[in-house]
Amino acid sequence: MTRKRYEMGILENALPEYAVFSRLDRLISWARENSIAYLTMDLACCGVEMLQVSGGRFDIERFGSVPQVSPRHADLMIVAGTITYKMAPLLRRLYGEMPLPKYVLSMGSCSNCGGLFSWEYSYSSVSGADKIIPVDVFVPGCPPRPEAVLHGLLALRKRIASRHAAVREEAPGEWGKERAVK
Amino acid sequence: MTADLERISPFAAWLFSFFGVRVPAWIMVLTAVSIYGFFVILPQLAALGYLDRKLGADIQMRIGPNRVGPAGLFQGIADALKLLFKQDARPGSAGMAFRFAPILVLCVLFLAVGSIPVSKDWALSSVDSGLAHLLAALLLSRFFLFWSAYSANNPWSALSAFRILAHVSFYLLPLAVAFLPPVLVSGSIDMGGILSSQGGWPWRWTLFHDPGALIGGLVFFGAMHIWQCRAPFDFTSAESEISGGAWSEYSGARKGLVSVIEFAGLYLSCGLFAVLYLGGGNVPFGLDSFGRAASLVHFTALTIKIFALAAVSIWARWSLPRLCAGQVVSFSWKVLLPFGIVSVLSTALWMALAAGKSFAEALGA
Amino acid sequence: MGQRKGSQVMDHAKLAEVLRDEFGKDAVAAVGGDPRFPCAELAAGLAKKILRFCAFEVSLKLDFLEDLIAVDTGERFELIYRLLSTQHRHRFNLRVALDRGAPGAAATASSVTDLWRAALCLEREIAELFGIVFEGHPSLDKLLLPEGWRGFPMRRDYEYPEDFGGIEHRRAPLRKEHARN
Repeated sequence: MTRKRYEMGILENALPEYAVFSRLDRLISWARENSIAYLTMDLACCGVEMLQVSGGRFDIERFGSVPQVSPRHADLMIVAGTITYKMAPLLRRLYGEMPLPKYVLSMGSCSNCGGLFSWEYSYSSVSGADKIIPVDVFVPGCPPRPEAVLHGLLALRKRIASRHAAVREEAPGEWGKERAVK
Repeated sequence: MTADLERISPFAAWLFSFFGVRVPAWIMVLTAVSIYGFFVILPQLAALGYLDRKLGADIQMRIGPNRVGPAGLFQGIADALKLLFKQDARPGSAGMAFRFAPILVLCVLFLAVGSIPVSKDWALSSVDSGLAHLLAALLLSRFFLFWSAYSANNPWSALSAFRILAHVSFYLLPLAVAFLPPVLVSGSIDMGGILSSQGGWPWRWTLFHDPGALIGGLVFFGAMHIWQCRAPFDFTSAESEISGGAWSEYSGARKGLVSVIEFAGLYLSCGLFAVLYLGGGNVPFGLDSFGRAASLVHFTALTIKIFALAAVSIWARWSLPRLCAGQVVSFSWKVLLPFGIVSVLSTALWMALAAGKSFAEALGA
Repeated sequence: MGQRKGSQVMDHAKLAEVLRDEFGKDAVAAVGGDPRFPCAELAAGLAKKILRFCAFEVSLKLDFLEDLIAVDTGERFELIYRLLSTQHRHRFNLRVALDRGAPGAAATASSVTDLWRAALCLEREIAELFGIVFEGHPSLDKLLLPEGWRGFPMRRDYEYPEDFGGIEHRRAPLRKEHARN
């Protein structure tokens, strides 16, 4: 059974670009960037820093972000930690279970590029989360300070705000195809 | 017709007493329900949600949402809008009830919420079999919750579904027993009757009527909160253990229903406790000078009581660690049920011996 | 490490003496190695018997297998047993040499799970990373590697696969300054 799936629901590419709909775009983007529920993909040491981000000193909830444990409830997946080849299919599966629109923030060197375990030294870890899932924001550090993760969140908000909610700008490229539900 | 309407929905009658138009009763009732729901209940639920986040953050020495509006007031709106525009994912193997069962939970909870009387005029639905109807609605809400958990066809949801069944079987009895002391004290099972039998001053409330009612009130508060599976008794949907449990497969707007259900449950617990035991919206001074707007005063008093109780509940939720299923069960059988039975018996004894006078009346107040 | 009253402390030389007395002159080869990590090399054929003696003999009472280390020196495999006595509080490293076996075939060793329960997991790890089959082990399942992994990563002649599960697995060759030989 083929069912067309839309990223933005019934609004995608169905509305002409009049001013009133740009306001609607803006409203939807405002709502999306102010309430980013994140899936805590806590794989290794970066996960502890990610827990600190939701803690008392840095408090990601000021921006409206709440950690969720079920991928169906989350918009953002924060991949924090080393990804092993054993974990990789599960990472892909959880990413697939997240409903659209979804974003990925890669936290730390191990999930940016393999980090300490990349290239020559480890047979078991994947050289970066972007070999498995499309990543929106890379936050460097080993581990990144919680302030760096917050900076990444703000960069993600800018990215969300710069995309039209009701109009898909670009044709689905490689990453776009990845995002579409099959 | 108007007399019938008065009997069924005093709020509708009050609302339409301002206009001289004749409309069919069902239109009046629908309008009244919509207006009450949107302007009375929904803002209170939103305020409870805001209170939950900010008070919880304060307890955890955090700040909570403060960027979204002035002091984070629009956080709920942002959450709701975002959830509305999310993809509605449905697992392929989910049962047919996956789509509508959560909405049924909410409908039944709103049945119960609507029967909380703010005052004589502002009771949305006044049912003759008040408390029995309420108990049925509460029970049905848990069964629809079980149905939505089971239809998700997911190991976490199945675990949660059976925990919900266990929870219902253990906590129905203390809950039903805790409903009895106000019935005994006021002599009526109708919520409006219980409300009018209490006065404005605290010593005229059911809670301080006699020692049995005091124990009964505490049992009721505990049993209602556990019935709604508020933390620390939320083993049915323990987020960190079974990853959201019943709700783990729901996304988008249906997930938003989870929050509405949770806060409707909180509103229900606190509202029922306020009406049955704390005198509801009754105030100690006379309200003849207010005329038709007297109900606003009642509403303010009830809201203050509900929010104070909700603050206590939120405080417990954010401070206490979760109890295991076994501990919750033993709490029911070993603590709540015995104290509930003791409270009913002692209230009945008091009513028989003191000829229905409250503690304060017996002392001569 | 604090000693219990009445316990006898041994060092590797004394241990070697005790073992030679029991099993014959060529049971234990010279005690050598880095002074920070002395190792007593056991004769391959008598290894299991010697280890059983070590576990149960009163003066040794090596009842705790702290670690089981496998080494691939290029020519042969070595298994190093780090044993600790909770009574006498001494610890020893005992090394057993294994034949590499034909390429593609597995090297074999006898399992010590009947002497120390800790060997259950330790030998599983070595079996999947080196390809050493421990005879007598109840269940040599995979412990760390994912299903479908081919090859034994800790061997010197391990070649990285091109990809695993659709994810690429290109590895750069080891840089000269990081090679051990």
